[in-house]
Amino acid sequence: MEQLITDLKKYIIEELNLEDLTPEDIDAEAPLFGSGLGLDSIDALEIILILEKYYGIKLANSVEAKPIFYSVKTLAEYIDKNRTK
Amino acid sequence: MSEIIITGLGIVSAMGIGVNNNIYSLKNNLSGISSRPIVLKSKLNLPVGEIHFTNNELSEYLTIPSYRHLSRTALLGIMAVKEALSNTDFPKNARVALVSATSVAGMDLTELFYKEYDKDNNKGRLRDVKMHDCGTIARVIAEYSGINGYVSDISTACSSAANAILFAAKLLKYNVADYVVAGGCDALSIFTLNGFNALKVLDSDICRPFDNSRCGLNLGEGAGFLLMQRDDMPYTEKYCTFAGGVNANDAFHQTASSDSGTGAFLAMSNALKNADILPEEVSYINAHGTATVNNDASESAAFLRLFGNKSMVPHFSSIKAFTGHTLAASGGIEAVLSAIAVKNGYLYPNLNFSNPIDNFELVPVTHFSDNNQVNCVVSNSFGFGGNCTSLIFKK
Amino acid sequence: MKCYISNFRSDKEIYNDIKLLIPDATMRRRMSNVLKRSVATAVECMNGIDNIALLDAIITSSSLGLLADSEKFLKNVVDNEEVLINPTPFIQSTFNTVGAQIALLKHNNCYNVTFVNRYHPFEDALLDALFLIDDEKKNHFLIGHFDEVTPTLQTISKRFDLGDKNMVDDGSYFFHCTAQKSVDSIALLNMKLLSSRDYNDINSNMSEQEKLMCFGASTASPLVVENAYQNYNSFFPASATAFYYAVKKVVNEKIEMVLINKYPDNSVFVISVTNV
Repeated sequence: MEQLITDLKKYIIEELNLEDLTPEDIDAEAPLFGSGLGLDSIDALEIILILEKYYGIKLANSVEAKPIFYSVKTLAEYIDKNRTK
Repeated sequence: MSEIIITGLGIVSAMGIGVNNNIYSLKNNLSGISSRPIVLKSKLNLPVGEIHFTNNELSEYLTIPSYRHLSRTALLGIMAVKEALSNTDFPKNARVALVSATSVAGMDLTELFYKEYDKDNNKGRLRDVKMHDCGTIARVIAEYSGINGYVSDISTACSSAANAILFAAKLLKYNVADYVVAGGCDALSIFTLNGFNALKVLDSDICRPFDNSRCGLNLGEGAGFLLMQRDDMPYTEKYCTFAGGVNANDAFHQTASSDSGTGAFLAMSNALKNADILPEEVSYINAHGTATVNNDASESAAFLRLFGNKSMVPHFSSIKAFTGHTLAASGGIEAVLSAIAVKNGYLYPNLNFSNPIDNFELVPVTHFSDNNQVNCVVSNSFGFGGNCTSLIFKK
Repeated sequence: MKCYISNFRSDKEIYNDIKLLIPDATMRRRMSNVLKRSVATAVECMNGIDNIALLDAIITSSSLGLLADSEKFLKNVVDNEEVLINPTPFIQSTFNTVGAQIALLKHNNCYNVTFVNRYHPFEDALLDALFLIDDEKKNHFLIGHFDEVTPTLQTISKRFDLGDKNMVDDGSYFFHCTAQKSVDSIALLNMKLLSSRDYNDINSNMSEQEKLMCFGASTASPLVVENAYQNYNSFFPASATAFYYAVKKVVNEKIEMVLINKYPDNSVFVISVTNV
């Protein structure tokens, strides 16, 4: 799980081009959207791409997936249960 | 002071080539949207408002030699501009200008180039990129429709054609031109289809504007142009008066519209002020109504803000379920339809509507009708970058 | 028609930290190079982000638009064969993105349009601003032009055999203009769009003096330059670049210049710029 969280943070930083951030800067339990990292709807689309690209998880849209998008930790838990690669 | 009037119209859309075919489809509830692209070679199996002629067939129809290798966007534009000019002989020495709009420009050909170029930078046919820029589309349209004056081109995503019409009106008002052909054209492309698909805003079924169950738009292609002039210059037929328009920015997000519909509200309310028309004088609103969850909610909020309450909102409908969202062309196509609505008293149906959107409860026009008293039409076009334009056409 | 120029800036004159000019990190991280430097140039030109709120119109122009993002998206679509496509470069590739992002900085709801004509998009933007001044009695305008040269554009230019010339002039140029004269005004701009027939009439039938008056010149011997846009290393007319250097010369040397820009669509823009 620890490794998954670190990888996920790394992918988010890379794909979302989060300048100046390292995986250590991201609190795995802090909200990704609104407060916390302050991501928005476009970032949600990019995170859906990360899930598909690296973990083989297909999500239809970000709305139905909202609870799992709460934090890096909730995302990692979802990936852990549903990954196909 | 002289008025600005509309004296020529041209449309090509998935509903058909020419104004008459488009009106026929609207009268008979015939959507032009097909279940997947046929001419466009895309892997995406999604409904589109496609014109089922290849570029070669379009060239042949226009008697343009195929070796000219024109972009589809230009071919569609030429078609609509030629129709808009078909019953007009300009006086000698008249200054005729063109203000065109496109968002994809020559992308349909650039895509062919890039597939080869991407593998090897010495590959890809250069003639496939020579029409990449927007300006070339406008220049070629002018060339093939015999317009030898000032040519300008505007690109503000999905509101492009509406802004072209707005700018054209200023060229006439300030007497920089005597006649202006204004509107927009866009072809379907792999680029835009994949762009909207990546944004997850495409419906896998035919779109349902203003319906509570709507879940996205269908892309379309086409062109729509108006011939505009001051009424002190000669003309053969007047369709309506261009009463004014305004561009405002939602300034909320690069792609999403604000929940409060601020941009749409400002565009509509300031356009009415600019045209000296009261909200209660509006007979019909040609809504932007793309059928995305976000756009239709935002536009509905703007209607309620402007007109006060549900019962005060005038007749409105979106024709996007007939044509698909034709991006930079949509404002031009819908301006043509608005002009005809004023002239003939038409109200256009909003296809695929069953239930109003929760919390707004607004019900669009669902059946075609004529003989209505249509004195004033507001036509809305909203685009990426919060770009919102409303145009006003009146008797 | 006329207006006053109170500031002008190119992307070679960005002095402040980019984080100060574009404080929103989400906005910044999505921006391509040309978008970032164009928005930064606009903020520098307005002497800080707060003054963006003053603007009554933001009018931009470009010949080729946001090329790098367009290509990035196209490459993603081609390489991935239409699956797993990142939408960000697509939404940032529309021509009006520069104008839109400037408006977003201060949530300014004002007029915001982008001209993309191949020959004279920048003059179109100026002309539109002058129309708005007369039409809607607006005061503050930001007018800017941008284009970017990408490696692909360079390769294609070479293959088109344009010699050392690039297709467009790489850069961003912004001008803050006002309808009313103020303490900040540095130059007066006068502009006319003529058909080439009208221009030729004026040229052949008027005395030098009458001609200059007709062109909006206010002094007896302005520096008249024809088609200055040809003097830059680009295939498309670099009229924003030419205008930028003209304004610079006028302000530095306290002179008057008349730019006569002739284009293949039989239109002639006559732009006079005078030091005030």
